[in-house]
Amino acid sequence: MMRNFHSVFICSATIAVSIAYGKGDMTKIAFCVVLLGVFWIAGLYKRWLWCGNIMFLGFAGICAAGLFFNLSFMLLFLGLVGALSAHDLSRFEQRKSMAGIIYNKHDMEKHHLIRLMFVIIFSLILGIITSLINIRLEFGIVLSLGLLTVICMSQVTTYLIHRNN
Amino acid sequence: MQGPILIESLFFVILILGLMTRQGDVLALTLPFAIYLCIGIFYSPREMRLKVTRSLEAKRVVSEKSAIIKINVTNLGDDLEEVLVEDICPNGLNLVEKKSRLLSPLPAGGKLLLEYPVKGYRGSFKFDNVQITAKDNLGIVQKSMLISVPEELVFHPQIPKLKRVNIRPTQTRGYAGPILSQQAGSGLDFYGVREYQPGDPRNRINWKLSERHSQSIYTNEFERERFANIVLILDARMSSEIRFGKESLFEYSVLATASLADVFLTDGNRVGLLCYGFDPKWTFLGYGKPHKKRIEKALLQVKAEESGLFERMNRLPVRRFPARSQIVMINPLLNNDTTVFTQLKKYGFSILVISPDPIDFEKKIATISEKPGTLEEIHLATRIANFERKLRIREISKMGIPIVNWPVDSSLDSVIHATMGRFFFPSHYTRLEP
Repeated sequence: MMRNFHSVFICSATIAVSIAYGKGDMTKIAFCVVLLGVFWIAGLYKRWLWCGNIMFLGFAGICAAGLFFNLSFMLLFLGLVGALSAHDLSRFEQRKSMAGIIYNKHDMEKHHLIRLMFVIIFSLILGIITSLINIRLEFGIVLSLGLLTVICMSQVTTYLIHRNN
Repeated sequence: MQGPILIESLFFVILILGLMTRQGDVLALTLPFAIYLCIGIFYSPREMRLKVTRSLEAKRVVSEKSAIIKINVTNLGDDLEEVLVEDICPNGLNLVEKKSRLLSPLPAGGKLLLEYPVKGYRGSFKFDNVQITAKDNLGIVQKSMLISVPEELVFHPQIPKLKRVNIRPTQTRGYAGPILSQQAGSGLDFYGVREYQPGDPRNRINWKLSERHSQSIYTNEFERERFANIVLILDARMSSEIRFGKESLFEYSVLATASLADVFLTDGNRVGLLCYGFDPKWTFLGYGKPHKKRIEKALLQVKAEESGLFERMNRLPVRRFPARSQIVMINPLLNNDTTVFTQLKKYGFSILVISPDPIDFEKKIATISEKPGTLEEIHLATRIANFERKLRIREISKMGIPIVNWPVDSSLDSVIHATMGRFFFPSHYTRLEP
């Protein structure tokens, strides 16, 4: 069941991003995206654990780059959400493969998928809202967001150091 | 790179990129990451109050048989969405099914049972920590704790039983036992004859001899049977070890030592053990079943190690050995340690050497493991090595020290008794040259 969902997320990310690039007359890049998607699915079935991280990084980069070429925001956003979901499932698979024995596997998978659906739906709603509203980014907003980012980054770094200890 | 770190990094990279270019669309691309991380943090495990117990199906298990380890985890706190219970196995134990981890959700008041089999060969293995990691469903926030649940599991090899080993120490102890003491007295073995003295029982008079000597009557004497002090010396130096995968010559030495300790203690002797290796471990002489367990424990823990200061045998703590006791040395004679035998003989100890045959062992392994070299080469190498070993054995035998050359495939019992038949005639019939 999980593998089917995994494949669906990879396919949706691949289709959305390749259509976005195809619409922007960048067929070669669209073709490369399709190849990446196929490779990701192959990695999923061959159980290449490293594949999930690298492909996700690639898709995130391609989605971010697409915005600088004025490609469709919604398609790229959808692609990124699909890639994030696929990456989450590959991490979940990794955790399961590390554990020798799994109890209540079905329940655990069900709860995980519900949580992931929640993330997807919430992200898509917010994505649609952001594509509809138009906020002008003043210097003050950028500065405050920048400061917030620095604070968040320091918090996350502290948390990661604490966790590693 | 771990998953959440990758997501966190991407979130910040895209955010900074959006802020630098002041593009709203790029900033909006961080939304899925932010939602993903926020939901993970929101559902992160709050408090971990767990009760962990460990139980073993059996605390002493025969080598190569599996022992079942059970770990019970009870959640006394809040619901935990994903719990990974991992038992940290001591080094030297093999997981039979490679499963000492359990992943499961654990609701409040719920229980988990991690049950897995392990195998080991020889030793005492101390279990201690169980690692428990709780995560949210998305695996963003994790909390770990190590809970100490100590327990000890012993794997002991099946010790082959030996029949009585007829040793001949130069001095025995004052109590009646099974070892011939080379002194006349009450016993079963004929020792000699002497002139009749008033009070000698009539059934001991040697009538045939008395007939030949008209002037005097002779009485038979029997050899006293007594206990002895026996010191077992196990050579635990790395230079005396040959190991190919699971096969180890040292393990045969340990088995032989255990068998000998068993037979000597069963006969009622006082037995001590010295494991001569990196840190020579001395088990003082003692009697009976509790002492048998002490020796067994020492043998369970002994390992062949690089010996450094004790690389040569001449650092034996001879002063700890009771005077004129019987020394049984278990040594494959890989090193040229003949001087130690001379030294021990000078101190007046009786010595018996049990030598697991390293050449026979290595030949068997080389033939099986398809090592480089043809069978002819192996055969030639074996002949040369055997020649060298025979010379070494002859050199030691010339000192009057019996050596049991034990090809490890054969039963130690049969080899000892075959060899003892050749060597062990009463020492008062011959004079052993030091």
